[in-house]
Amino acid sequence: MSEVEDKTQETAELTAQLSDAALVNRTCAGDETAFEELFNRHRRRVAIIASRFFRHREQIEEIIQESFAKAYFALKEFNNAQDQSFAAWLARIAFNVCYDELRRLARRPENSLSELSKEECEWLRERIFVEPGRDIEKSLALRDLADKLLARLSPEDRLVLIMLDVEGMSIAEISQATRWSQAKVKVRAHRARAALRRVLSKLL
Amino acid sequence: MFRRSDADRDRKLNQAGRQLLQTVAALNEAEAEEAAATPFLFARVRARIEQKRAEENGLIFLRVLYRVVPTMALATILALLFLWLGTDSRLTSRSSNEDLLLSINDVGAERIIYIDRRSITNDEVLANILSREERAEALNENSK
Repeated sequence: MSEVEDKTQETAELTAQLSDAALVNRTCAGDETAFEELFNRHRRRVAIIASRFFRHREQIEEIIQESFAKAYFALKEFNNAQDQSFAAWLARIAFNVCYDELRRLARRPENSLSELSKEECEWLRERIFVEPGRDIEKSLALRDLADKLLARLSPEDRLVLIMLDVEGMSIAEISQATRWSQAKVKVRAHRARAALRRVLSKLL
Repeated sequence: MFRRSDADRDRKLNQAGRQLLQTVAALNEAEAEEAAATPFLFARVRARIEQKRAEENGLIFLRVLYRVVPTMALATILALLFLWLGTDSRLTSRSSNEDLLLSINDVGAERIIYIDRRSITNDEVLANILSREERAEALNENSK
């Protein structure tokens, strides 16, 4: 029994030492532990990407599951075109899953939002622009209102703005991730900023 | 004058927007950490993969059906068409025989053919046998 355990531990250690590309090769060959290792290495990054768009834990978990399931079936594509890192490739899948989810939510009529009241606007303005540090960790209400505000943007606008302003991605990187042309990304970014300005003009 | 104030306002709003997005992202990071550390998450991913695989198999079956069903339907229609045409021609030939028997649409030539093809009756057979016997007897008498 201990021999089996030793062997398993040895295999796990060996797997942990392998590069992402090697793990992908082993997963394609049918090694399940290799895929688990990939999952353990990159799940935090996928969760962070999901949290840029969604704030509920269940939603983030859903994005993680869907992203890794999609990645699993597309591993051969990554194997055939290894011109980027596995992390970047997986991030692209995660962004696309988030975008699909945003579009799905936008189509649902129950997600139509009510206007923010004057008090809510004032409160939000104070928290974000006047005293950004105050009780920020515990402020669920702030997240609620900010979500309400950002939900007024179209999924495309939100995706581009998060990639630009939060992830700090370049136009070329966004173009690669979304498979949009660079010109389209620039136009979309310009429109997204205009849309966000319209939304925020009520606050300032 | 107006342009400059508009540009200032836009810049201010852009900055505020960036700040809002970054604040929300920072607030959600704790949730992300918790979600990533959820137990049995990999087991759920595995289950999702299996589910997708099953769906894919179902889709393959549907795709096969999508191609097979029209082909089968076309084959059935053709088979029914041929069957109907065959039955129709047989019915037509049968009805024409009946017409001949009942002398409907009687045309002389057809009737002759019909009479020619008519089978011999028992009386005719008997008459034939009898006439043969009579002829044989006559020959015997003559020879004597």
